[in-house]
Amino acid sequence: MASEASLVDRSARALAAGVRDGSFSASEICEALLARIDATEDRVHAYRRVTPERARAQARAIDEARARGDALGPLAGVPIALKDIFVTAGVETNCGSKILAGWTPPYAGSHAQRLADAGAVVLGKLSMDEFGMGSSNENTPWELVRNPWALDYVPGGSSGGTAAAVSARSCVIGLGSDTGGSIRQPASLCNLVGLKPSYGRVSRRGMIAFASSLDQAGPMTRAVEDAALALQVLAGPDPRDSSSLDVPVPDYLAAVDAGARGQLDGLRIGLHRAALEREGLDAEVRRCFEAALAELVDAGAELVDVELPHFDHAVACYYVLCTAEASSNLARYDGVRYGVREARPSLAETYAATRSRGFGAEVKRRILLGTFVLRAESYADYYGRAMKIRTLIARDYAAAFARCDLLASPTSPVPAWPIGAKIDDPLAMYLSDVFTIGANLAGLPAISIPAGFCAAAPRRPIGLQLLAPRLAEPSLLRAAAAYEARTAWHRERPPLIAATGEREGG
Amino acid sequence: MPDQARALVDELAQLAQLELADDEADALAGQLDRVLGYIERLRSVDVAGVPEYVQDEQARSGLRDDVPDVDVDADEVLAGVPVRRERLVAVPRFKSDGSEG
Amino acid sequence: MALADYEVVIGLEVHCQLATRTKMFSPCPYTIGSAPNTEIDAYTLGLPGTLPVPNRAAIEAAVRLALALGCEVQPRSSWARKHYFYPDLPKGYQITQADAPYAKGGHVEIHDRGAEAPTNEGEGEGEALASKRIPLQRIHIEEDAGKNVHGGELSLIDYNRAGVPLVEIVSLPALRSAAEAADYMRALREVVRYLGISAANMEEGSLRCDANVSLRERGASEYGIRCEIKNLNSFKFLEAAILAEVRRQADLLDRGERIVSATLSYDPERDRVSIMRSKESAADYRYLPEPDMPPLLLDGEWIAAIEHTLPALPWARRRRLVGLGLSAYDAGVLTAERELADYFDQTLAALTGADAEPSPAAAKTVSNWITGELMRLLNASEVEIAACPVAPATLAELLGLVDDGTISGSAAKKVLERVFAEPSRAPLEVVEAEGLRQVSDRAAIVALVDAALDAHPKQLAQLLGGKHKVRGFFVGQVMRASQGKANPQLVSALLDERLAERRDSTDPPGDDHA
Repeated sequence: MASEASLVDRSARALAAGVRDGSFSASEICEALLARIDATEDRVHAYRRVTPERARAQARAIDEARARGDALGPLAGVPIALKDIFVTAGVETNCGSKILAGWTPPYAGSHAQRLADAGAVVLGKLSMDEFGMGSSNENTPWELVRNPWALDYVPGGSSGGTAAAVSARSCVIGLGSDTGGSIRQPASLCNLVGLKPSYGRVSRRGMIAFASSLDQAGPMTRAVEDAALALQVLAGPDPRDSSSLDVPVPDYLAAVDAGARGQLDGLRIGLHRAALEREGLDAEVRRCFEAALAELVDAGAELVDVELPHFDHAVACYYVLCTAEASSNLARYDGVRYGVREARPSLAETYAATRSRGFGAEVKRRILLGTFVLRAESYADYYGRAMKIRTLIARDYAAAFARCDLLASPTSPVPAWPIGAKIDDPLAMYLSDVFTIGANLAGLPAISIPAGFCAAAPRRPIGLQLLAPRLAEPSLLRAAAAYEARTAWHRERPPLIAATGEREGG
Repeated sequence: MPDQARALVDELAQLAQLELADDEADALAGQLDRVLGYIERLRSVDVAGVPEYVQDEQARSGLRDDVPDVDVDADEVLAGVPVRRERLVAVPRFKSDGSEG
Repeated sequence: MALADYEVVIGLEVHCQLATRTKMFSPCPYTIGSAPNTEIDAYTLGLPGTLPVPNRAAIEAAVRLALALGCEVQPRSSWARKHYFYPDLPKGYQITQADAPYAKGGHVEIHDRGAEAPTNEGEGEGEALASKRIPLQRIHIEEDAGKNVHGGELSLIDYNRAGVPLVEIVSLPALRSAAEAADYMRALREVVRYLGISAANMEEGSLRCDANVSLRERGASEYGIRCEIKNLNSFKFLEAAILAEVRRQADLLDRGERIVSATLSYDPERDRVSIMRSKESAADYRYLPEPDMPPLLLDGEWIAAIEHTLPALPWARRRRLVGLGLSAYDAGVLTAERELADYFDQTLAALTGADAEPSPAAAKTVSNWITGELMRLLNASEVEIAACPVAPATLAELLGLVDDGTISGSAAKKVLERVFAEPSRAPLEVVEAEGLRQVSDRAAIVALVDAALDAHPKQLAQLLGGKHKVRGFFVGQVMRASQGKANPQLVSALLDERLAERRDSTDPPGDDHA
């Protein structure tokens, strides 16, 4: 019987193997994680909703299947949790918003379905920034999520709850969504692996839409191999999503295992140096990044300078496009067919009251901006123009990849900041996406991996971001695995939440 | 300047079916103004002859066959409707001038 | 100014519901007339996390229409979101095609009322088939909205119709009268039904029309301000509404007032149009290129394959029939419905034989029998031509028997009635069973003729004396004597022969007879 301590720290790959070979049961793993949730949630608040009875039933079903000799899926018995943006049949889904308070979906989204089919045990739904809009998980009508590394600091966003849970060991794999960095940035702030696949690699059906041409679902894990395992289960075409790609799914674990030997001979890593000279890049982030580059070179990689001529316009471009699409995707929330309805005497008042009371400030801000850029009189100058600049940005990356295999940058220009410090300055918040949005605009796969900590207390994680050409996830995972094999950052645990669940200082 | 920004917010709120309190609208006006100021930098990019972005490898149409495949029972879908009269979805009476479109 | 000094300019936007099994962007089934909110799925109600996936059969139906109307089918077109808040619009936007529709140009062919002769029935002149082409601007594909019912303090919405595939056919402002507009609608409905892509029933809502109407002085080059009349759900109302709007605009212009662009509705009770909303405060739809679906690609091969499935269309068929000598009127009747036109073609082909060209005589025969006797029988038993118990080949067989003299025309009518009632019987079998073969034996008929002439000397004398009316009496006598089986043409010819002989033998010298 494995102790709870070792169970909550194990990788998904090890747990699934252990369930398959009988070393442990799905039920005991489930209990260990549920106990962990109990021990940490009052401080971290990662979960929006825990579903212990469902989880236990799923775990039991896995154990019974094993007893019968049935084949078990690649994630058999692995406890996972889903950002509350993912539609789960019969389990209330709010997408971080009051406007969907009480909404219990009548259908299963593709992600929940695929993960369940793979044998995963779903522990619950994770807190997030409302409708995916935010970089700190502070855009929430409910309890703020705390960074397990420093409880008065933000975990990042919009998949802040996902990052906090995986990092606190209250789930093993967390599923997040990434529109402008919402998987990678929280991963960076919480010492995790966060993977955003190529656009279209994973279905969007059942992922509540924020910005349709930018959104992608992806895993947050503590180990690169677990991200590969999760991607293997999630990747593939979906007949209910016509933007999903009908291309073969390669063997991602093989790429990880190849990389874990720690050699990157001949790998050309592109560097956009101008971005590093910008104002706002934290000195500690820079230090960790340079050290990470040195490590990659030690492993045999070659650094190549590249240009990204439209880099300085990417944030503006992103915010025109994502707010336009968001204003469109959120037009359906009017209280007529589902969700909360603020009933009023007239239809117009019902619409206005429902939306005004249901949406938070950031969502309103983005809807207004999006409405502005789509007005007939503004279209050509804003949305139309931004769509052309997006083409230029995509071309920039394509040109860069003619000269290198991967691009490297810091994930976030700063480590985690104190809760409340940036909430009054939306523009400052938007600018912190500067390194991550390029991958969304160009539809490229990108990963953030643990790359160090800032020296000043509290000791907070700093991530390294790697970007690859479209559908080159194997290349990405191989390099990430190599870096991971040569470093120990990923093995560290948040000091405030010891592995055994005991609190420091009583 | 602030009046213009506030007027703009009021107009946009109307289009987006949002009802904003005065102080809320004022705050948003200021923030929107700042963000729009930042976005102005897009005008300096030369986009002559550049097409609007289309996902490559998406140049297949993603069509499906004309075969029924219902994901959710009609009754289950209706179960989530906030206000109904029997099987019909109910809203406060509005002027019957036909659909806008 | 007199009404006649204004030129009426009309453009029509027609929405046609495609009769596919499932909806445009989700595999939710749809049939007209189901109980409310029974044909809905997660996508139909716009549930969070759902995505549109286009229906291939709907695209094919749309392409068939575009090809039939001579449009340029675009190899690449794209989807767009059109935003407005309305309870029957589940997502807060409609997916349609804006800048890049799948079909451009094209035309609808209608009767050219100006060129037609006043009497055009039964005369068979080519000019009576005059037609003109009303040019189209474009056709695009989109999804339908739900339906609202208003009752008491509430409005109630049925989403069954939400998401059903629609094609929107937009004409250029090339129609010049209310009657022409109604003709255009009828012609469009005919084509759509010929293609089998839509029930195209205005009363049921599977064919809808909005009319844009403006006036200008005759000879003016600029168009006047136009107003749009929406929700016209019958041909009659379409014409009446346009006429009412023309009167309204003419009145305003006569008084020197400006026409204000507006959206109107027509009240048939009072035969008046009224303003629903002014277009000066028109909605900004904030069109957005649809990010959930890639562009629609229609390659040449696919289009060519679809083109092969097109049936011969109404006007082409009419021209062919008139070319075979039928009157414009008959050609019109026979092509009013595809099933009837197909029936005619098949009968004619069976009568003529596979490799031969049909003759005008054969076409005329088939036409007469179908529009005459067959339609009479179908109407009497309330059967549609599509369910006609007499197969085209069978009718052809029957007409062949008349052609080769086996039976007379009147006997054929009887045979047709029998076969109609008992479709398993072959015409020849009925002829034999009921002894309907006509008698064409010369000697036998001569005997009957002589007998009749001998039996009625008074009438014979009258006939020989020049009273030609009496001839019918003798024909009747012979037919009666033969129980109707004598071949009438032969009777007539032999009667003349025998009369001539008797005349010659009784002729007084010097008499002059023709």
